[in-house]
Amino acid sequence: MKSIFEKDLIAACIRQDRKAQFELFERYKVALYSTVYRILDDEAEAHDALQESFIEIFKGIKKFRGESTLGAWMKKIAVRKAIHMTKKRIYFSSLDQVDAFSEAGVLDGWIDGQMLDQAIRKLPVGCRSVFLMIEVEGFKHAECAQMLSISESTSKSQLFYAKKLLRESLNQVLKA
Amino acid sequence: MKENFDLPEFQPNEHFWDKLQGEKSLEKQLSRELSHLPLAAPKEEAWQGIEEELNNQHSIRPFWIGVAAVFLAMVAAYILFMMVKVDPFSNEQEYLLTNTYSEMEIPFEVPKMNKQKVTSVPAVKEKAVQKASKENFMIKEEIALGEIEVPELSMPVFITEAPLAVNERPRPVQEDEIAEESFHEVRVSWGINEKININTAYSAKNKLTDTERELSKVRSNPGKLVLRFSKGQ
Repeated sequence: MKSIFEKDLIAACIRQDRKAQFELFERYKVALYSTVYRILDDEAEAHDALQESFIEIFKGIKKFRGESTLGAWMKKIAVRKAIHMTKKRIYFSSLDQVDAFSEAGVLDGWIDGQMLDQAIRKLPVGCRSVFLMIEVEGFKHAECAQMLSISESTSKSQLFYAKKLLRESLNQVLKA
Repeated sequence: MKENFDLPEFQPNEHFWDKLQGEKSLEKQLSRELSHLPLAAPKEEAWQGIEEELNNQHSIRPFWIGVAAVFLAMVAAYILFMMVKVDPFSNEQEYLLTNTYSEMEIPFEVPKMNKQKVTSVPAVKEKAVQKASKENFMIKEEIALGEIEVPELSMPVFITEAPLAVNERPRPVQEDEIAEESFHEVRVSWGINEKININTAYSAKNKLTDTERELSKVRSNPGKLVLRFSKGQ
């Protein structure tokens, strides 16, 4: 039922119906804003990314063929925008002296979403972007590597590095 | 008071603790907790910004359509202009022919006036036409004239009337006021009987005296202005 209504909503958005556009915004604003906010870790930049994402969504919604869900399609656009905005300040730590591929290990306790969110925010921007794209948004390494202009192996090593840092960070919190 | 029932107790699996410890691994906790990450909501003004941007984009489109239309009109006008344009070289050649002050010899033929037969233009009156066709006038010799007093033409004097008022009708022209038509024809030709070549000085090396000397050829022209009249009838 929802999907049928979503089709109507898409059709109305293609006709540039402002009410339908607002409805689409209301439905997905939290999901998209949360995504870009985690990547950018800056409120103002996240709002800019959200605005640009929705403009692109409204402009390009006629190209949406339904190969994925509308939410996934929109999230992909938002992630691209956020990555594009943060690309200038993305750096990737050299992993030569870091045992990045070691076992992620066991935590000393139980965590919740709030703790995990705090730990993710503390990650360096490069490996944080990779972690969010792969683990949270569900992108493949190839897609992630293409968006970040890195190799697939770099993407994989940065993901392991992010997990290692997360374990250390979370264990510190759990011990405290 | 709750009644105590003597219910049997069950022990968990002896591997349970290990299994529970295994759930503490980062990978498992991540897969469980990533779907419970806190969500953030944008500001209330976020939609206004998007709406303004959408409105701006709508207003930009007609502007660019206008610009494109003007550009196309200019291109069309240019193509039309190029199609109807006169060949620029023809004008340039004319200019060069008429404005070249060089040593170039300009072909010039002096009309042979002595033996030229002047044929009259057919007149309206039948008698005059017959007479003109029988006689051919021969100019025997060139006449070099000095200063000639040009006789005043006796033209009928028209007295100008006071300007008419807007509602007044113009006075009809009387028959005696109309000048009689004349069928006499006179041909006049003139020219200087000597060619003058003037070299102008364009370079800075040439002195002013050279230019003066050249100009003196015109001022004290040895040639004579010859006026030739040939009688029509």
